[in-house]
Amino acid sequence: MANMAIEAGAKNGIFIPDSITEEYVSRRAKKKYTFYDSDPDALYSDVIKINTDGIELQVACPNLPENVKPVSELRDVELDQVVIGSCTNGRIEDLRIAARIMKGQKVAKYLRCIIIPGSQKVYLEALDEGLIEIFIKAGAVVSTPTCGPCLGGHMGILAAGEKALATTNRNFVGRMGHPKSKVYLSGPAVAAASAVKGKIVSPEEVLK
Amino acid sequence: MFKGKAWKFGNDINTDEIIPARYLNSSDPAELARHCMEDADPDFIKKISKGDIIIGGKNFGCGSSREHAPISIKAAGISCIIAVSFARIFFRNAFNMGLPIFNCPEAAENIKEGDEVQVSPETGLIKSLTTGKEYEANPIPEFMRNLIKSGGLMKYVTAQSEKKSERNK
Repeated sequence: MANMAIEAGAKNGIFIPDSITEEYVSRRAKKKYTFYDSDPDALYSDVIKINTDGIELQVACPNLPENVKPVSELRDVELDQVVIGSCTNGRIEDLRIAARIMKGQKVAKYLRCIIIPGSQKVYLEALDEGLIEIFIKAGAVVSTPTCGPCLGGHMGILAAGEKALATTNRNFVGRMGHPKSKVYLSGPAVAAASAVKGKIVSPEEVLK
Repeated sequence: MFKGKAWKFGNDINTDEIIPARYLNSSDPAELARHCMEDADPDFIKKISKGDIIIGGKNFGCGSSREHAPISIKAAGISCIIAVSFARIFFRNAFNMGLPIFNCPEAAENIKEGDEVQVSPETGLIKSLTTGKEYEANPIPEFMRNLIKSGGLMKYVTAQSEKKSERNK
């Protein structure tokens, strides 16, 4: 989220580290680290409180990550490709969500669905938990952890006129290939359901 | 002083348009320059002359933190960029790579493509030689001007540490 604040146009995105962050960092950090908190008397130019409970799943539309719409407002966006994973949404939790939706389902005809675990560790965990099998049986392809199609690098580069839904971080003009291709961004639940239906849909459309 | 022809672009010009990722297997400035702005204007590099100036809209340079973007623009011979606003991610990169940029909404909106433009980095004064109109951008602070003079952050730091070791001899 801290990273995505910048993608959405902010100068910076800062969080006060919580116990989950501490747990994550303590197992990985090779150097001594310090966690900072705000000064108790810190002044803010503005404070905006957002209740996230009522927010519908959002999709970022071409060509800016900040250009978001609730998934229910997007109708008839037919897709050529769905990318689930990458550095942005490639955690084991993300793959579990996608697998739960894709289990026993088939990827829509003519749609390319590419799964990219965020790291070798996540890849192994997904293998152990049987998630990779679910993806392959559903007709998706599973890639080694890589930037791959996210920046139009390789495997899944979009042609002119193609549309993709990705759980990656950016959807600027030409990001995943041809400047005339379009990229939508979502979380793994919407992406997995959309891969099954061949167009952008809410996860309920598949889980019902 | 920078002087050149203005080339205008719209809002949200992103780093993939400035230098498409398909060329990132090279970090050679001359090679990156050959594809500068290619996905925003495929003929850009054929049209420009050394010293020309890019005029951007809002949020110029959004996208990747890749330093290839300012490198490509600088190596293409563009003397500076004037924009309504810059994406932060590009703003720092530009100075670190030694590419001068000016935040000036009035100039960016009013200067027309093809205008002859003159910019003083010391005062931030932007002048359209075509219309005679003048605009004021914030001048580049001395420290940032030194980065540009040195050719970017790396060269600046190298020069500083060399100076230091000279003194310590």
